Amino acid sequence: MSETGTPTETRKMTGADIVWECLIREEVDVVFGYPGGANLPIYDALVKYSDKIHHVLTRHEQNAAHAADGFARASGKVGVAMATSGPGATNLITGVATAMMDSVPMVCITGQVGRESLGSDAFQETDILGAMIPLTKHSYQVIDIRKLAATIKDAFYLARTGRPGPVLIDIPKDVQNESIEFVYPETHDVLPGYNPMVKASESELTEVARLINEAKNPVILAGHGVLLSGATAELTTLAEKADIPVAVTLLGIGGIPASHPRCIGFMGMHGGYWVNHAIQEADLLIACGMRFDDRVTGKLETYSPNSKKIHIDIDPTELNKNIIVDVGIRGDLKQVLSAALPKIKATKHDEWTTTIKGWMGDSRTKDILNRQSDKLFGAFVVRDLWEATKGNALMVTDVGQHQMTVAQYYYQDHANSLLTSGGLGTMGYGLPAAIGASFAGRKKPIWAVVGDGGIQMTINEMATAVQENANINIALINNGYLGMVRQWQEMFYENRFSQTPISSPDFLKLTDAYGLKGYRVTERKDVISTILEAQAHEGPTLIEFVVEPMEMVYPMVATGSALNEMVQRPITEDQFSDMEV
Amino acid sequence: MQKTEHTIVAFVEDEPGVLNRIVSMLRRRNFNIKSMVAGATESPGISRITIVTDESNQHRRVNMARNIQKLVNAYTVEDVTDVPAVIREYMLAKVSVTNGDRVKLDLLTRDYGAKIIDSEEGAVIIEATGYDMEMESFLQKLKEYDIVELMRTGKMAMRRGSHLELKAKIEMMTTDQQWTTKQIQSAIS
Repeated sequence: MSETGTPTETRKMTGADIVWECLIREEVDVVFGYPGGANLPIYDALVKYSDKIHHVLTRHEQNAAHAADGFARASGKVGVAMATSGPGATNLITGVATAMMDSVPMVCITGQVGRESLGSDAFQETDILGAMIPLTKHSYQVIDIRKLAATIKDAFYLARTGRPGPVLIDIPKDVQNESIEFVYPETHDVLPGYNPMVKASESELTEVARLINEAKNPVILAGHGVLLSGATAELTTLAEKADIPVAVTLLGIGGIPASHPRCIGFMGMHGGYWVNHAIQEADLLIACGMRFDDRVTGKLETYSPNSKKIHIDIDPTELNKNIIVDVGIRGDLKQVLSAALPKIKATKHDEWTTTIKGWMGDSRTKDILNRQSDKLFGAFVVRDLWEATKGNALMVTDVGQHQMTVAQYYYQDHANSLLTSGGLGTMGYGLPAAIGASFAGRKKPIWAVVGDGGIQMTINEMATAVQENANINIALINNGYLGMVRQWQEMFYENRFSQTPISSPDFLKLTDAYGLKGYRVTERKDVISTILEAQAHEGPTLIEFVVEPMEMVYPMVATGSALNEMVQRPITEDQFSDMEV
Repeated sequence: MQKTEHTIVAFVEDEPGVLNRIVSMLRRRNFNIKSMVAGATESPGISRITIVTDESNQHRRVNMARNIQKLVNAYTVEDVTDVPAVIREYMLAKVSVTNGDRVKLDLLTRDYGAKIIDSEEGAVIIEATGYDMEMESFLQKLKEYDIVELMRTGKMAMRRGSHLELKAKIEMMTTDQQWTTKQIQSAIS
């Protein structure tokens, strides 16, 4: 049994041992992965470390990456995924690209063929380093065992600092087998150009304050950076002090509590009608840790045409990338906001608030929640899930209509409590990410809301959930379609439902076979009681909600439209049209 | 007048794959590159890269430099288009000549400070170097002859004057093991 002593003590160890020793020193206690030929030494060494590190065997390497991602988002720590060379490594790619797009700290360790075989197209050899360069924050291949420990230390450091992201370490098998005196470096190797933190200058802060103090109709755009930087308090203070409404991006949900009076909600393609209107009509946008993705801007040329724009982001390459701004500040959001706050005057924007409330009223009547219907809509399920869990669940989603529904109707009051593949939009993310999140030690019930399409991409992870007895609940919204694609076919392809009707297995038989507790709900009256029953069950559960097949997500900004040109939900007979707002 | 070409000088770690990282990023982000020259510097372990871009959008150019700087292996990146700098290109041209042309060609090469460095039966190899206008004008004149082969290196750039602060910065980055840690601490404090 090895012991984790002081960093200065030295012992002769194999590369494989060094991997685990380094992970322990980085305070890793769970790893998601899959063994194979080229990482056998690492897995053999794991036996000695199994009391310190728990390894979760996913059923596919992509899901090891998603699970590490879910763990990282839920815990704030670096997620670790492992795979062998060749197909194992290439299987990681989708999970790594997902983490990269959403700035998730992750270290992926892949086995590689021996150094002598590199470049010879050996069995299960693939140029994973070359493939991962554009998809990672940084990537390493360790060809000298003397650099192994320092490389792992640097990898964790890179993954978690600045704008977080995935880092790859590719280790040839013979390096894993080689032995060397192990010393864990105390300082970082020199990462010359890596300078993740820059202080905002006094003149930048003065300019920010001037613009905010002069604004009549300001809007804060809160992105993932609010959560990553831990800037919720500063952001909330700014919103309160200067009376500024806050719109959140998909990944920014929870950056300010949804119930906070200054939070106006979710922006973008399926955002609130009033939120998008506020952005379009604003005279000042204060973009905080977000990147003006096309899903939140709509047509760039018409985006918020009359506003001055402030953009604060830790990644300088995001400034002036999509939207040209008046003040672009590179810096850590928490630090920039707290430095700017004393310069900002307390004020009120009552007229602006009233205007936004008016838009809100206009669109609320069209909200599906106001339909009096016996039918079971996906949105009803999400709304009831919110009620049953008192808004306190750790929510994980897959990708598609249900994902947007969760963003719209699961009013999230808590930071880091919505895990969703925003940037890459990776179907299949939900189930493995929920499994990963279950190792984060959060005291919240975990609910993965998934569609019948997405879950079938990674359904094999039910076995992992059962093997780990993971305390996760799956709310499967089954509409028999790849719903979001079908929605686009309905709106833009004249109802030609090309390959979007999808059949499913009998999910109750499947949960039986895998060993999950399964439920099926077809009527709204059973939604909340079943949710509570499933949640009380120890171990993984799945509820199949058989919902209305043809439901659409409204409102919607069609690609190429301005952000405020939203297609609204048609009002139906069973809907209150005289709703009080 | 708006310049159509911009020249960026980057100092990067001389490590396997660094060029790959830069090129991969430039391709992925769809940045237009006219030429790229990489080579050794006075400091072991550091390569110097001159990139010429015809990216016309200023924000895109700034973004390109920032994206290079964002690579972990990059030390410093600088757009030298609007600062005093020497920008030169090296060129080899093989021209087929008959004896009668030779005298005129000798004069032409001498006019441009070029050199005939090889002379075989029927063809000579000319070595030329200079700033862009000079090279273009020389090439125009050379076209009166039959250019059999032409090879241009792309541009190299070096700032004029002692410009010691950049050197000092890079030296500090490479020698101070705590560089990164210190940067972060100074930003947080």
